[in-house]
Amino acid sequence: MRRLTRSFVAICSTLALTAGLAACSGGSDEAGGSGDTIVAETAFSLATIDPHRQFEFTGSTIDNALYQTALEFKDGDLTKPTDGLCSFEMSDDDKTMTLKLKQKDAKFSNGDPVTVDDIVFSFERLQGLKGNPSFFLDGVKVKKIDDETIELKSEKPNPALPYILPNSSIGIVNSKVVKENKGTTDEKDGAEQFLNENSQGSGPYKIDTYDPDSQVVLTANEHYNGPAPKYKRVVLRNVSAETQLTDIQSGQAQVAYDLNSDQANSIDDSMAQKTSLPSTRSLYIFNNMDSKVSDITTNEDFRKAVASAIDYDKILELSGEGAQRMAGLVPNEFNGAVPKDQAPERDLEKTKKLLKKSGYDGEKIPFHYSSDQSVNGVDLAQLAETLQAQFKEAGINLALKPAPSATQLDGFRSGKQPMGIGTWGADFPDPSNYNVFVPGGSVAERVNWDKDADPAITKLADKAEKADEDSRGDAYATMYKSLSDTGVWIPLVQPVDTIVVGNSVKKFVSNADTSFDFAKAE
Amino acid sequence: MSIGTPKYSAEGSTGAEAATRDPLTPGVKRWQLRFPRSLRTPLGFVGAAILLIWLIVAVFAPLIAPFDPLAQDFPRLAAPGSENLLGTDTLGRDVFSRIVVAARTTLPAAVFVVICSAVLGSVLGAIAGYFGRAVDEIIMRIADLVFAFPTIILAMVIAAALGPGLKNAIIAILLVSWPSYARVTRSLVMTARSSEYVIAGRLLGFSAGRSLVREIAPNVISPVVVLATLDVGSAILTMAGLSFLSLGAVPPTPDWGAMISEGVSQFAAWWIAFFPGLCILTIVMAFNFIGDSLRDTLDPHTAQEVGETTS
Repeated sequence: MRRLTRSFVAICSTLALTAGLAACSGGSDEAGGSGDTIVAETAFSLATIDPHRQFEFTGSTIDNALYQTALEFKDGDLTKPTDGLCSFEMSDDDKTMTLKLKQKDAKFSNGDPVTVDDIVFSFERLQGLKGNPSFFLDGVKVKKIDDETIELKSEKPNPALPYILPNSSIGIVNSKVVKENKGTTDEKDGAEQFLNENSQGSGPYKIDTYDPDSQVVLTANEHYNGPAPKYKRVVLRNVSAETQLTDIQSGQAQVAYDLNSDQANSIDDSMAQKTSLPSTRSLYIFNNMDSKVSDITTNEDFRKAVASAIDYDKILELSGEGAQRMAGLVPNEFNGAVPKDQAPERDLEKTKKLLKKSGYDGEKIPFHYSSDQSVNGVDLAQLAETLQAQFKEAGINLALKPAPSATQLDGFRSGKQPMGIGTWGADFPDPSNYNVFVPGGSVAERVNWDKDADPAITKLADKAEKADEDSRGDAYATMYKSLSDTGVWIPLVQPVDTIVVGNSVKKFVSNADTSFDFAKAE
Repeated sequence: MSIGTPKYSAEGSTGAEAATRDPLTPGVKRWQLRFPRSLRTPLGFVGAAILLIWLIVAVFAPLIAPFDPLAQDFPRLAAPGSENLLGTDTLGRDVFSRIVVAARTTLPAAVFVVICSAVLGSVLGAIAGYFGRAVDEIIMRIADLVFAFPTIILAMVIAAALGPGLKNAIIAILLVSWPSYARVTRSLVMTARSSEYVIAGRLLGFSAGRSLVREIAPNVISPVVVLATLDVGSAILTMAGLSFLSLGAVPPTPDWGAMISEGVSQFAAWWIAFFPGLCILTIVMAFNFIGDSLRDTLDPHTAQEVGETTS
C-alpha cells in the first residue's frame, strides 16, 4: 500500500512538473506563425541593431526592415543603384554627389517626417562613431545645402558612392529622438542601447523586443509610406540550421535562412519553396608570395598548375544548385566581374607539365582553412578535403591544417600561411571593394604580395580607378582577370544563398540586396 | 600470520611448494588467479566477443574495407545499398570503408592513451601515497587542479591550444585522465604502506622503490586495472568528442567522431552519423561490460559496495 502511495505521488509530481515546464516554455502563440505573424529562423550573427554600428548578417537583415536608405537597389539589381529616400546626381569628376529628398511623405515610426537634417545626422553619426561600418563614408564631407538638398564631397573620385549608400548600415534615423537619447555624431554617442530597444527608422517595421541571444520581434510601422505589410509581426529566432530544417518541416517557422543545398533539397515540395540567390561571397585559394614562407607557392608555374588541377565542376556540385563559376574574385552580378566563361578548366596534362617546369618534387604543402566555417552552405572542411583529393590526382600533395575560424584568421593575417582557402564577402557591390587583393592591398599583404611586386597589375588597377562610369566595369574586369592569371588568388566558386520559405507564405520577394523581404510577403 | 609475511607476496615460491599448496595461500598473485574467471560472466562474455570482433576488424581493415576510404568515387549522399553497404557521405566516400578503417585509429589510440594515463597516474599516485607530506601535497593539488575542470572542456582547451591532430588529442586526454589513477593508487598505497608485510620489508632494508614495486604494486594493481578497462570506453567517447569538434584526427583520416559531426547537418542522410555512432556505442559497451566483470572478480570489495547501492 505504502509503495502504491509512493508511486502515485511520484507520477503526480512528474505530471505537475511537466505541466509546469510546458507552461513556462512560453512562445507557443507565435510558434507556428499564424495569421499576421511570420516566423523566420537563422543562426544569429548579431551584435547590435543600431544601424550605424551593425556590420553583421542578422543585424543587416533586421535593419533592412527597420530603416530606409538614401539610395536603393531596385529589385535586387546590384549593378544599378536607384533612388531611395533621395534622388542622386554625380558630378563628372565623381567627387561630388548631390542628393535631393524625394520621398517627402516618408515618416518615422513615431510619425515625425523624414527631413534632410535626419539624413545629414545619420551620415555624420556613421562617420563619427568610428565603428565597423564607418569606413563606408571615409573621406566624404557631408553638407546640407537646403531643406531638400545634401552634398557629399569626396577627397578623390568616388564612383563607388552610389553603390555604398544603399547599405543598411547607412540607414536614416530620427535625429531629434536619437539626440534626445544621448545620440551624437562622435565617439561619445550613447544611443546604442536606446536604438536596440526603440528603433527610430522609417522602414516598414519597428522594433518590438530585442534579445540578441534568442529572438527579435518586429511590428509594423503604421506610419510607413509604402504599402502596409501583410505580416504585421515578424519573429526572428536564433536557431541552428538543423533545427531550422525540422521547424520548416513541422510548420513551426516560415522562413529558414541557413539551410544548405542538401538540407533544402531534403524538404518535400509540398512543405516549402526554395529560393536561390547568388551569394555576394567569393571563395578562393591563396598562395603566399614570400619565399621564406614557401619556396613553391612563389613559383608562378606551380600556381598555374594548381589552378588547372582543380575539378571546378565537382566544386560546383558540392556547393549546391545555383552556385557559379568565378573567373575573378568579383561576384558575377557585380559591375566589373570577369565573365565566368573565362574561368579556367581542369587540365591534368597541363598541370603535370607545369609541375615539372616548376621543379615541384611532391613535398607536402600546408593547406590552411577554417574547420568550423560554412559559407552559404559550403563547408570549408569538406571543400578542403575535396581539393586535397583532386590535387593528389594531379600529383600535388597537401597537408591539411584545419583550425577554428578565429585562429585561422589570425594565422592568415600574420602572413605565414603558404596556401589555403580564403573567403571574402562584399561590403558593397562595387569592384573597388576588391582592391584589397591588388598588390599592396590589405588582403594582399597577408600573402606578402607587396605593392611593387607586379607593376603591370598595379598599372591596370590605377587605370580602373580612374576610368569613367561607362568604362570602369570593363577596366576592372580586365584588371581582375590579370589578377586571377597570376595564380596568387585562384577563384573557386561563388556560392548560393538558399532561403527556404514555408508554403503558408503564398507570395514573397527575395533578392540579392535585401534577401527575404518581410514587408512584401503575403 | 607473523609480521613480515605478505598476504600476496610478489616473492613467489618454489614450484614444489606451489604444487602442494592451496591456491589461496600466500605466494600466488591475485591477478594470476582471477583474471581468466572474470570474463566468464554473461556480460563479460558479450563484451569480450564484441571486442574480439572489433579487434579483428581493426587488424584486417584493409582486407575488409571494400573501397579506398578516401576515394570520392561515388554519388554524394547515396543511401545504403548493394554497392555501398552503409551508403556514402557528403563527398561521395564509402561510409562502410571509412568506419572499418577508422577502427584502426580509434582503438589503438584509446588503449594507448589509457595505458599511458594509468601508468603515469599510478606512478604519481604511488609516490604521493608512499612518501606523503610535501610530495603528496604537490602531486595531489595538481590533480585537484585538473579535477576542477570538466574533463571534456579541459581536453578541448588543451587540444585547441596544441592544434588539431590525433597526437595532440591523445596528449589532451592523457593530461586530463591521469588524476583518477593517481587518486585511486594513492589511497590504496596509503593503506598498503602501513601493512605489516611492507613494514617488515622496510625493516629488512628494502628500498622505497623495491617496496613499491615488489610489495605494494601487486596488491594495488587490481582496482587500477578495473578502472583502466572502464576508462577505455570514456577515452573513446572523449576522442570522438574532440573529433566531433574538429580537434581530433586531421581530415581526411577517417574518424568516427568526425563522421558523426558531418552527419549532424545531414539529417536526411541518417546513415552518415548513425553507423559511426553505433560503432562507438558497441565498443564502449564492450569495454564497460568487461570492466564490470573485471571489477566483480578483481575488486570484490567495490563490487559489493556497488551491489549494495543498487539493490
